Amino acid sequence: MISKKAFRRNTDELQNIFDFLKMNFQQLRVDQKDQFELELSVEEIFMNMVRHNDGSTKDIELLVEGGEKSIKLHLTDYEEVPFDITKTEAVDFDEYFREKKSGGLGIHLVKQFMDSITFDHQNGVSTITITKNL
Amino acid sequence: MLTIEQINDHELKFIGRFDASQEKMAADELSKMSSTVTIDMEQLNYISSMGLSVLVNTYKRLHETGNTLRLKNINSHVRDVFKYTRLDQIFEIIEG
Repeated sequence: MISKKAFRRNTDELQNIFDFLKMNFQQLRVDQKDQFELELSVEEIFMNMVRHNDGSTKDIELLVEGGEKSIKLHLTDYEEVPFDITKTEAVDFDEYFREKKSGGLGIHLVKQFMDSITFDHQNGVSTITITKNL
Repeated sequence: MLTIEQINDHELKFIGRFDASQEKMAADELSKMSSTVTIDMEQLNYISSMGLSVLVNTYKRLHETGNTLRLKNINSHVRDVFKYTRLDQIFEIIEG
């Protein structure tokens, strides 16, 4: 099963994204825990694209690819300068708490919750694919 | 959508989903609290890193004046978010 939808690069779109995901998750019979972790991962990547590519006005596309044993979600953004989240450094929690930081945990959570994350950039188009084994 | 109910001067109840779209509303509500506050999370069924950031900033602000932020009745999915970010070692968490 494949389902695709484009979303404006705006925080207000989050509810529409969650509604789109929930509709697909129901068809794929994804359990509550996996739904939670997939929704959170999509929010973190979507918000990362909105924040790091704030000069763009193009929509961000979300494609759901469901199978019997896994679900893949592809988020596609149009950006000249690629930002590869798979290459972000692991969070140093000792430093994090010592310096009393408060952000930057989103990608860390995606890496914890997903079974794989891949990044591809070709011709000004970046695609992040997350996979969750069901 | 996130709803914040004030139980009394020292306790709030979070209901619903704390995603990035709720950041400003939640930060505004928490900025009104100036002493130790407890947040009942029994009916909070989602939190993302933006929600965590609001809570950490509130904790830091309260901690500077000798107060703190306590969390209680956290459900299992939300608890995983605190566990994986090790924030369960920072906040005082009260079991239900």
